[in-house]
Amino acid sequence: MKLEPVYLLAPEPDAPPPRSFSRRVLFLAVAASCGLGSVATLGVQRALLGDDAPLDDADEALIALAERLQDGPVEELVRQRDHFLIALALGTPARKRLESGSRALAGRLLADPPAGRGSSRRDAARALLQALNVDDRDGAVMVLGPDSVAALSALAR
Amino acid sequence: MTGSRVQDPAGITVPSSVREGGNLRIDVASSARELSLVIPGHGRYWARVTNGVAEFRVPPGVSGGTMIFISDRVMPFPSSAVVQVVSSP
Repeated sequence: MKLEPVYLLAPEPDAPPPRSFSRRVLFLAVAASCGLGSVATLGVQRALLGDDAPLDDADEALIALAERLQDGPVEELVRQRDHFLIALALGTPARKRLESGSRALAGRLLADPPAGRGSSRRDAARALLQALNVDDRDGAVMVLGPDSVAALSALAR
Repeated sequence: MTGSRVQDPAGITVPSSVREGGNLRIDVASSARELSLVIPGHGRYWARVTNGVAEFRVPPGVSGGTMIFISDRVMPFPSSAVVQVVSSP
């Protein structure tokens, strides 16, 4: 007896669908590219502030300059307050070293006679509060105390 | 943006304010190659100086009333400025 092979026809298995970008993926990719391109074009980088943020030599020099200002006459501190505020805005390490200057600047802003009220004084109060709170919402209260912060906040409005 | 401020020494010149999401143009006369910008609640940014100009777009979420602290960090005489973000109309 001889065996003959028999071939049966069966449908081919379904091929996996071709991989392609959906519209949503394509849109997200284009949006991400545009965002990265804008940032790169403007040459902007971001870093975090806080206790763990490293301070380089230039930052240390800014803080040292601010320390000299806080150790000098308060008039000079007020006149060069931008330098002081820039250093203060470097975060917790700077805030700890610039407490006395912060209190002196706040005291001067609050002690000015009413005739001195104006956008400059308001902006200075706002800048001081924000620099103290730059990485900690309670930074200003810890340094100046709640009463001074409340008075400065009223001045900053 | 309104007015402009020149700090002492005049290393950087900035407008006194910038709109939410607006572009901040900073003229740089010092030798700085990049500027440090600190935005409370948002972190620290660096803007590269090209041909005496640094440009910085205010990030989304930075609202009116926020102060931007800017320095060229050129020692021993750094130039510093504070720019206020104002609400868009």
